[in-house]
Formats: sequence, structure tokens, C-alpha cells
Amino acid sequence: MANKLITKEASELAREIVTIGLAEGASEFQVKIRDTHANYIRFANSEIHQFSQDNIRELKLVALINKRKGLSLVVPTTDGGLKKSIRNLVSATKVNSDDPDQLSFYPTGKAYRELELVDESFKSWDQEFMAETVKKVIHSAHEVDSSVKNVSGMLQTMNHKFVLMNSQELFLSTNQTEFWYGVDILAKKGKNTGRNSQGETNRFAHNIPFFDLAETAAKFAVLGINPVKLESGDYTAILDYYAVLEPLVFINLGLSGLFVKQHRSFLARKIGQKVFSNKFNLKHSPFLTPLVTSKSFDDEGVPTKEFYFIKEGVVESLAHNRLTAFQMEKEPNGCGYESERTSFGIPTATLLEPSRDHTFEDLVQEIENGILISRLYYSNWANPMAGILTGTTRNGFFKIESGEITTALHPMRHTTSIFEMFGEGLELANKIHQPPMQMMPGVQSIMVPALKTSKMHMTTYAN
Amino acid sequence: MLQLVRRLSNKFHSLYSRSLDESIMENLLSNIVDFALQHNSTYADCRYVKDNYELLEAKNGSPSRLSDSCRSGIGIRVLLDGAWGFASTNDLKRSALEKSLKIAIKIAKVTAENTKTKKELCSEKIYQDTYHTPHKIDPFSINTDEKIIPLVEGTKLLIEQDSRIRNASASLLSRKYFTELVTSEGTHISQTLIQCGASLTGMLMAGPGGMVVRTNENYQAKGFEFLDEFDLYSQAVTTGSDLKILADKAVNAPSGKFNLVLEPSHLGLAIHESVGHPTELDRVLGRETDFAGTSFIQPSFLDENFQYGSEIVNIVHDPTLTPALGAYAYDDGGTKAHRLSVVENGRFSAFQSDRSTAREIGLTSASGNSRAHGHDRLPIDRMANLYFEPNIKYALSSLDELIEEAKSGIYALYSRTHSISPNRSNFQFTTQMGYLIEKGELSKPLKNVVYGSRTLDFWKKCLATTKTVEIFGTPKCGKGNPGQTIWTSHGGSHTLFEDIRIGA
Repeated sequence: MANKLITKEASELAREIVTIGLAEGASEFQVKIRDTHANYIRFANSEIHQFSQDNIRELKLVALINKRKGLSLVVPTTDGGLKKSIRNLVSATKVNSDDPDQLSFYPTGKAYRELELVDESFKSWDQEFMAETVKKVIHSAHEVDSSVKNVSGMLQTMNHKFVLMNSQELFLSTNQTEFWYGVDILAKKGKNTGRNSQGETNRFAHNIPFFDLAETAAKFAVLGINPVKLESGDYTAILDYYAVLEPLVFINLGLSGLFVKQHRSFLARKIGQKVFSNKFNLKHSPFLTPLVTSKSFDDEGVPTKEFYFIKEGVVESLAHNRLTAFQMEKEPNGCGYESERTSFGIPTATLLEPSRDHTFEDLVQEIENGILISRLYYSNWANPMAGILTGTTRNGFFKIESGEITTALHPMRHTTSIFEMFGEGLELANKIHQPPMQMMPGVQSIMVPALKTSKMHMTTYAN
Repeated sequence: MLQLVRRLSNKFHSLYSRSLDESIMENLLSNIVDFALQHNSTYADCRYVKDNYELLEAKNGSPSRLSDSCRSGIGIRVLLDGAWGFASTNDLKRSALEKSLKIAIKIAKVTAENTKTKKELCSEKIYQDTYHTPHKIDPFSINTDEKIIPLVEGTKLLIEQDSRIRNASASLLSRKYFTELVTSEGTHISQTLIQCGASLTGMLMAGPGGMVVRTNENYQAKGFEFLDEFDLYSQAVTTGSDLKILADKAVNAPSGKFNLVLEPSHLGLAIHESVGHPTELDRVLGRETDFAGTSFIQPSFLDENFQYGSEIVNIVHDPTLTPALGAYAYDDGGTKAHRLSVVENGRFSAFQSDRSTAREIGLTSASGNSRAHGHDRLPIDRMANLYFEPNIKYALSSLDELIEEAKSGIYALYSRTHSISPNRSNFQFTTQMGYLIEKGELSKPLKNVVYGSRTLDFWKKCLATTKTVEIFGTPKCGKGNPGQTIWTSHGGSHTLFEDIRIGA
């Protein structure tokens, strides 16, 4: 079988592993070989302080025996050899009692798909070029204002190659690049400080405006000096793109078929109902290639497709792996995620659709008296089933008066109903971003616009 | 067919069973370190890690998941011209390691050219030692049947507690974490950490929108004997009882200012988030600014006798404490682990540091907190076993006495969710359940207990504790970018705080 994306050695290895897995007694056997090559530069206090490189090969082995399933993650250097690992896995899988929920591997019959999403400039991103880019980022931030004191952040370049093969003759291969960039800037005048952070991830470096983001962060950091206190209460707010990310992660988790089936999701009793503003459209977008988790098949080999999870505020679909799709009598929709610790369906590549007309500046101008939140930190449920989310502002919190960003504010905690956060009064900006994920990186990625919400409930000072 | 398989198996064995015996490994690591010195490194270390991890799960009386992993590889760290370089690989061929070393050296040179602050190390003794966490039964020596049966039976028993319990799940996590560290200073340490943990979760459907959840879990540096001590059967009965209380009797917690009593496992979370992270020195120095966050603590606080809490607050860090989950004898930079008072009689007294960060603020020795989550990550400043140590002279004998001391307020039990500000100065936690305290006694059961405070206000309002310390392990502490998850443990005794804000 022709395969141009992975090495012949990896293809042959996959085939050999499946053969041995079957010979050891598995009724079905699957292997995923993943090669990762990554460089990470972290910078802080306006200089590089950590620079590292990983080169890793990992094998994920899955055995099925009479509807029993076992999963093992190993590297080729395991003591006693890979064969021992396969034997252990097969033996352990036999221990499982019958579980009628387990499914045969996907698909029956032959299939072959491959996916290449590679930035052609990737090879030029060697250590010198990465260091030079970071140096320029630091320089461009300091150029904005003499009050800029510390520039921190991370630049990561990564190349994943994997092949997935199973005894049902499914054969998939992928070659993907990924760039991860975040910059965090501290400005200081006397004892007063201001901070701001910006960031983007993308499969293609040319989509990330490294220096523009540094300059934007620097400008907002300078604007953030001399904060004043805001009274607690309800506010109309602009959530900049970075601040939209964390609530969206919680919505994505709530859309998991598993969590809905177990009644652990705040959306469990809301399927088919209107829960948000009719301007809220959340789409599964696995073919939106800049998304760093865009893909043509999921972890179980199921082809992905585009569809709406939430359309005009109504919950239309859930994210299923094959098991919850089977249990809830739905078609699998390419959202399967599987690791050695867990497996479930989750929106892996989502887009919160932007508006066609409003710019970020338009949204600000519409507000007579409100706030701008640049980023949120440590979001978590205060009441999971009621959809009450809490978190603090991070690196950029401002007052908006008569359509203008006027005064820096001290960081605060909010505790807000997610239904109200994205409810009536929602307006979205027209430009989308892909902020770096802090929660579940590599599992999901999200493109979001900035937005205006009619209610953020600000509670206590967080400084 | 059999012949074909045998042939392939043999081929495999030769290709991938690169099982290295100890002497070969030691030589390999030493050679790489020597090679680094020949290339003008002032310091180098080579760390081989083999991480065996097994997770067994049962759900509603049946086995539901069995997975294991074995990750191994080598991380090479060099200090050259005052800058670190780090590269890792899981290809253990000499040629691959030499290639990784060259990358680490190149990275250090590139970093040195772009960095003004030169990194140096505190002095540390040279050690040649082997360490194993104490354990009776290696969990990897037990067959899967024996391990999974208690999980199956435990979930079956939990389901039987009430017909409304829809989901009962249990897990057993076993880990054998082996490291071999060779440094250019002559240190050579082998450590084997055996760790086991279990959890039991029940979900009870109590009418529309009324799902209630209880989880009991603990993780320790112990062998398979841990599972007997955890006693899933007793846990199943307790969990079932708690679920029924939450569904049938508990009322929503009131809002306002109340005295608050925390049970030890939840106190552990408060310590982790509001004392552990802010006193990690790399955070204080701004190295985690872009991701995990900063700290309200400044280096100067060490000399200022800074008041962190009331006089009864004593927070101790001690990786030598076994069987606490964060136990080790040496950190990943070769510093010997030792007991450290982080807060003593309410005063801030020590940072959690490594040899590089400690030197940066002028300390003469590191605290032994340099930890990496695997071979492929740079060690950074991380907590291990951090807990509240009551002053026996003033501590009360029992929980009953403490509740009596509180007079009125809320008794909050078992962590549910948490949120804390980037510099760790403000937090809000929720617990799985609680009880109202009235007239010095426990009264109504509570659900949806939410409380919050500024960190320093909270610890300064610490009024009283009981004597008995309980430590709980968690395998979920995340920090660093790229992310690193490490295993820690925390706890203390039952502790009373006055005048805390309850409600979201």
C-alpha cells in the first residue's frame, strides 16, 4: 500500500505489530505509532530561560478479545521488548469480563486515508531562527514604551507523524506541524504595574503575527498601569478572544456524549433547547486547517465531518465516540478521543462563528458603561450542574466608558451563569483567533472572536 | 503462520528489546556527561527514566478499563556559558544520545548568546546512592485478576446501597517510577518510587437536575498493600450513605461570613494552591509568568519575617516522609531531600527551590524541589509532600472539641472544584458536602458549599486545629510549559478558620 507521509520503517513496523498481536491471541489488534519532534523556548524577564527539544516515538496498542478491550502505551525501549508488552496486553485483555458495549474496530473492510498539514517553512525553524524570533519579539515589545520591563512567553514548534493500523485493514497516516506562541508583558512606572498577554496557535507560522501580538500586549500592559478598584456587581463586558477561550472549553466538555449520558453535563437536560443567544453558533470544524487539532479522522479512525453543536443558541448535536454513539443510538461523528487513561467523545476542533460586521472596536463603542476582560484564569465550575462558572481576570482588565477603554482595573473574580454569559445581548466580533490552550492542549483547539456579553458578575478583588 | 510469527517476534526482540542492564546504563550516562564536559560545559547531567503506569477501572460491577504504559528515555541537561541546554530522546542507541547531547550543547550556546543573566548552581554534596520507597508488595507482581476483583466488588456494593445510584466507578492506579541520575560532579543516584492509589465515585440521580456525586480517593508511596488499607468495601458503604444524605437531607449552604472547619483532605487542597505554588521560587522569579502564573511572595519576604498566617500555622515540606505520595530521597537535580519549614509559627520561612533558582537569590543551598515529570522535561521547582503540622501544645484532641470551639459555622468536607488567581492571592473552592455547625455541634447536612478568601487573610484567620495529621496524595499537579504533571501529597489535621466568606 502506497504511503508517502511516513517512513517505510514505521509502516512495516505497524504491520508487524498487528500480525504479532493477532498471533498472541487477540481477535482484533490495533497500533498507532506516533513520532514527535518538538522545540520549546520559554522566555521570562526579557530573556530566554528554558530551551529544550524532544524526540519521542510512542506506540499505542489496543487489543480486543470477545468484546473485551485492553489498551497499552509503550515505547520501543521497554525492558523485555515490545513482544512482552503485547503478550501482557493480550493476557490482561482476556481478564476483562464480557462488556456488550465494546465495539469491533472501525471500519470493516479496507480503508486508506492520509493527511498532510505541514508548514513548508518548518525546516527553517531551527534553534538559531527560534532564538532570533524571540529576541525580535522582546525587542519589539520594549520599543513600544520605556515602561515595558519584562517580556515573557513561549514559542513552540512541533512536528507529529503517525500511522494507525488495525486488523480490519484500516490504515491511516498523518504528518502535521504546529506552532504555539504566547507573550506576556509587564509594564512598570514607579510601584505601579500593568500586564497583558496575547497568543496564537496555528499549523502554519505565517498565520501568527508574532511581533504585532507583542506590540499589542505591550500597549495594553502600559494602559494597565495605575489600576483602580471596580465595585462588585453585574457588568456589560467585552471578552477579548483570549478570555472567550476558557468558557468555551467548559461548553465543549458539556457537549460530550459521555457526560450528557451520565447526567454530569450542565447541558444534560438541554438537548434540543435554546440555551444561548441566537447569535451563538458553535461548529465542529475539523477541516479548518489552521486549527492545530484539525483532522480527517478521529482517534478511533472514524471520518470527521462538519456540523453544528449549537446553532442559533440551540443545542443540536453532541460529541460522540463510537461507544456513546452506539449507546445513545446516534451515528459516530468523528469526535472520539482515546488515551491510555480515558476515552470519550469531545469537540476536538471547534469554531465559534464570528459576526460579519462588528469589529472589536465597534463592540467597545456600543458600551456606555462596562468592562473589558483580556483574559481569564483558572476557570472552574462553582456549581457544575447549574452552569455557574468562576474564574479571575488575568493580565488586562479595563473600564469602558462612553465607548472608550478608559481606566485600568484591579484584577477581580467573576462568578457568572454560563447561560447568561452567552445569552441575550451577545454580540460577536468579526475576526477569529486561535488562542493557546492551557486546558487539554493537543486534545481540542478552538477558534473564537472577541464578544460582548450583557452580564459578567464580578465579585471580589483577586490581587 | 506460527513460524512467521516466531520469525517476526525474534526480529522484534532484536530491534526493540533494548533492555539495558545497570552497568551498561551507568557507563552510557557517564560517557555522555564526560562528553559534555569535553565540550566546555561547566555542568552536565544525564537522567534515565522508566515510568511504568497501570490503570484498572471497574464500573457498576464489571471491569471497564485496563490500560498500561511504559515510557522511558533519557534527558540530557548541560550548563554552558551560564545557560542551560536540554534535549531528550527515547532512542537509547549511543548515536542517538550523542546527537541529543550535541543538540543540548547547541541550545545552551544559542541561549547564552541571547541571555544576560548567567545561571550558576548552589553547592551540593556528591552522592552515590540507591533508594526505594518502602513497600511490601510490588503492584506489578500481582496478576490482573487479583487487582480488579476488589474494584468490581466495590462498585457492585456501592450500586446496591440505593436504587437511585446510577453510576459507581472505581480505579486502581499503580506506578513504578525508576530514575538514574549521573552528574558531571560525580553524583550517581538510582531511585525506584513505587506508588499506588485508588478512587471510588458514586453518582445518585435525585430527581430532575439533582445528580449528586461523591468521590473518595487517595494515593500513596506504597505497594499493592495500599488497596487493602484503602478498603473499597468500607468506602462503598460510606459513599452510599453520603450520597443518600446529599440527595435526601442536604440543603444548599447559606451565604455570608461564617466560621469554617476544613477536614484534612480538603485542607490539603488549600495548602497546595495557596501555600505550595506561591512559594515555588521559579514562580516568584517570574519564570512561570506566561502560563502557570506568578506569586504574591517576593524574594525579600524571606528576610522580613513576613506574616503568612496566624501563630498556629506551621506548613512543612518533607519529601522524606513516607508513605506520602511525593516521597523521594533526592530531587531530579541531585539535591538530597530534607524536611523544610515553609511557614513556621505563622511566619514565611523558606522557598521551594532548586540549585539554580536558590543561587539566583543568594541562598547557599537548595531545598531539593527540582522535579521533572519524565525524561523529556526540564526539572523545575515543584512541591512534593507539603502539609500542615499542628503545634501539639495548642492543638485540640478531637474534631468534637474543634466543632465545639467553632460554636457556629460550617464544616466543609472533600474537594470538588477550585479556582485561584494567577498570583495566588485570591481563591474560591467548593466542597462535595458540608454540615452546619450550631451551638457547638454538627446539625444540618449541606450541599453546594462554596467559600473564598484572600490567601493571607485566610491563613491569618486560622484559629485552632486538632492533633491528628492525615496526609492525602494527588497525582494531578500541573505546571510548566510544555505541561508537566507530578505527584504530590498534602493534608494536616481538622482546622478552624474564623469569619470566612461562604457563597459564590
